Amino acid sequence: MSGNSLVLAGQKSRFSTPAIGQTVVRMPPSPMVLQTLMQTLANLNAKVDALATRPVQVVEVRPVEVSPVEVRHVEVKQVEVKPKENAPQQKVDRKSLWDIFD
Amino acid sequence: MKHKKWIKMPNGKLVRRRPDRLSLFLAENEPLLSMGTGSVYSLDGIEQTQNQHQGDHTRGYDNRNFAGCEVTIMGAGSVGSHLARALGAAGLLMNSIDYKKVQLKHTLGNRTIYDSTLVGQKKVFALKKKVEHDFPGAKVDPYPYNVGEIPNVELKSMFARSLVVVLAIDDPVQIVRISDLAYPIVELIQVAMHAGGLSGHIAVCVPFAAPCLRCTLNISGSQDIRRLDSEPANSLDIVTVVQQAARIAIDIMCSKITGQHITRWDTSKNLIYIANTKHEKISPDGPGIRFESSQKRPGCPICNSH
Repeated sequence: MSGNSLVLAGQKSRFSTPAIGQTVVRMPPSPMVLQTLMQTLANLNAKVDALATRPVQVVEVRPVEVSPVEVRHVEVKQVEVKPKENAPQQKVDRKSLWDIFD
Repeated sequence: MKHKKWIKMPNGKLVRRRPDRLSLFLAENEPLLSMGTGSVYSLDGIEQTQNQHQGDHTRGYDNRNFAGCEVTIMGAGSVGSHLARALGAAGLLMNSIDYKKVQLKHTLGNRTIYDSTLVGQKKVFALKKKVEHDFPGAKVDPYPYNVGEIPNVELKSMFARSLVVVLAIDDPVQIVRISDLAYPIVELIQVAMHAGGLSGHIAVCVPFAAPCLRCTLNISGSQDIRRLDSEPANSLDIVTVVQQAARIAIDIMCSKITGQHITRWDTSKNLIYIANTKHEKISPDGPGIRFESSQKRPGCPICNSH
């Protein structure tokens, strides 16, 4: 894909009308905004200084004692599956479904 | 039918075809007739409240919900072909698998949906012609292969894409193989006719929720199933069973798409037995239908492994 802006715009030659330049007028910042900004910067600097000059903290870590756990086998009784007592009675002889054609 | 790229105008000039803006606008701004919005629409466009349709199990049924959805039908014989036609109105994309050709005997007495002009063609291609001609919007993807030759990976991929898989074949080995493969993936519906077409059954296997086909039919393997070749039967009896199967398939698909519960039948009963004549236990007075539940057998390798 071409990066030429004239190609993208579908123009075969330069634009006939001259481009009108725009002058950006910058407004000076208000003193209140400047003061707030400077105050925030001063606070941040104070925090960074406090972090840099703090004493080194030593953390004691106790070794973890591991107590052996006795493992024993659990005997599970074999569950006997019984048909539901209130299961609906089947009237359709399933063997009659075995001889089929399509 | 493929649209031409150029259109000849009355003055003889050729104009490039452009999309119909009016059609596009209407398609985009069509009222959304989604299910469960608290209202249904009648054919004349007049909105009606649901209270007027209490107990109507087709409430909210809209073919557009199924447009482009996929369903796989194994077998394109008497059951498979009639089933494809029954589902045709839903505008589904149907994968049809069968390697056999249409013979003259298949066309006699409306045993299948094929007519004599289709004799000699592969059944799946004949099915495509018939269904796509009769139901604009329905699409049939023909697979002229023996199911046994399709590897498991391919079948699983097809099952994963399908809303429902319908098993309408009588090869015992493949019935068991496909039902085992499909069980953890997709809802499977086995439709089969019994001797003389005097009865038939529909087994619905919902993954994890309902027993597998082995448990539903109470078979230990494919050796228990026996195929009846060239069985004489009344085509109306076949269509009776197939119509029930189609409604059940539509209900399941509808539920999967919309998230609504199936209320038309008791879904805990996954075996549907259809008697086309008097049956001593099920319907002693005449033709009837019985919904019956099945149990997962302890130790079943299919039900209990998932």
